[in-house]
Amino acid sequence: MPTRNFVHVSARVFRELRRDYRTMTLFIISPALVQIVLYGMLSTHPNTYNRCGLIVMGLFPSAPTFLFAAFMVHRERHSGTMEHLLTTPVARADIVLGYIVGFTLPAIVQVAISFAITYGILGIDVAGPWWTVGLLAMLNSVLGVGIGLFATNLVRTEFQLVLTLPVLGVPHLSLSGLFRPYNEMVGWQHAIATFLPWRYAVGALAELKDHTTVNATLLFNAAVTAGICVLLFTVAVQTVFRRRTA
Amino acid sequence: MISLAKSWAITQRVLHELGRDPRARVVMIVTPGVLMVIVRRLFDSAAGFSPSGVIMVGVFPLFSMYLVGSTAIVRERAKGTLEAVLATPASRADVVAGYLGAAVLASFGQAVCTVTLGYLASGLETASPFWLLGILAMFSGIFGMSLGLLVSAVCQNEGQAFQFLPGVMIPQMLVSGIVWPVPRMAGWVQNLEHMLPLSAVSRSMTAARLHLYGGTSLLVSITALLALTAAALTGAAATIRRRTA
Repeated sequence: MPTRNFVHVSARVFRELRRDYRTMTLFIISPALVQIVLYGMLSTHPNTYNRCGLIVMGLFPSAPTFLFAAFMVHRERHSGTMEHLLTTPVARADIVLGYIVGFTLPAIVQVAISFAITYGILGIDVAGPWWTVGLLAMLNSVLGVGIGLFATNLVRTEFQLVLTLPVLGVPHLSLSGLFRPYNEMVGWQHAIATFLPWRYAVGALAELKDHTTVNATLLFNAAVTAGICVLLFTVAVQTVFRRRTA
Repeated sequence: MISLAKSWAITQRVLHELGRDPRARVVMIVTPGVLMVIVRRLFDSAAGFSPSGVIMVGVFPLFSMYLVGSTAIVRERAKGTLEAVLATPASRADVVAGYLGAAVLASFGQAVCTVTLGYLASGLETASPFWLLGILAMFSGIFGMSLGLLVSAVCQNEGQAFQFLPGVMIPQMLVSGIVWPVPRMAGWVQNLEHMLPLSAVSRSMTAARLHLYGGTSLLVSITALLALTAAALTGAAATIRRRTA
């Protein structure tokens, strides 16, 4: 069970991220930049923009947390930091929780800026309340941490970590439902998409375009996303945060 | 200036290192083609896919080469391999030419694979013959590697090279017309598209799709692409230096 020690772990993680101010600037600004470009691309077709803008706004927070988690944890696993951490009294669950909180804190700032620009300046028009989109965005940022931790199991070097983007990231995004809704995909794509975490994240967000209230489809998709997060973190506790005595 | 023998030795070494890593090999050679097959099914018809598809023939190789180039050289800079190489008789230009040679050979294999999968499995339809698209794909792969070399100058580790994707590369890709046709975008985005480096790739691809052998617009964009590649390589050669601090 996590104890209050997780606060120290997350404070340390957050401090390290903050010190790397180039990373922080890039990541806090990039979703807003993508939103502005997206608006310019699609503003002549408001219906398309409202759908894509909404999904990108809610899904984008997965990206930075994935990168933070994957690269930082990979480095710490291989440079021995993780080993040192596990000799202290903190429990493995503390470490996982600490990393989740530490990586998600910058995402709050990022989501706030992205929302201010998308709702305020670009004037996106969606039926669902903004705070629901915000909650889903935060859930997706946690999902990003989970995928990032999991990805460190699949790779040996940082170089291979970079390669997971074209090999796993781009197909994942293609089949997430951003470009073509899940229900309209052809057979094999439909089958693959059923097992993709982002398919549920996008499924939950897409509901908010036309529905003013939280409905059953949204709840189901959000619940599956949360379930995937729990699963990924359980795997992470067992695999990533383990002392190797060999 | 550039010694062929020394550059070739560096090319061999780079290819050998990349080849030892099966995952890197797969990413460089096969991934762009496989991505095309996946994306094709997001469209209803081959005719609807072709405008985006041809741009992908150029942009996907550029991305994968950018990733391979930037991460490989950042690691060599950070770990001191580059210092060691520069202590040998090889000059900075040799190092850049050596990497370029590796990019040319890898891009060739990649272009063959991308074009094969693009035409046979995804039903790409173009006015120009397939080999022209293949050559253009190769040029964009080389451009991607040059950008990667340039970017490595400002990065301390591989993670930072990666961060250029969401901030710099992805917005360019969105604007290039890969997901939404450029003529339907707002005016200021079209103006932006004129100025972005990646547009040289997407425009040459579109020109080759619309006209047999591309015509004047292909000539203009391919000149721009080569000029940009040369500029990126010069920049890379200028920033690769021995640090004696």
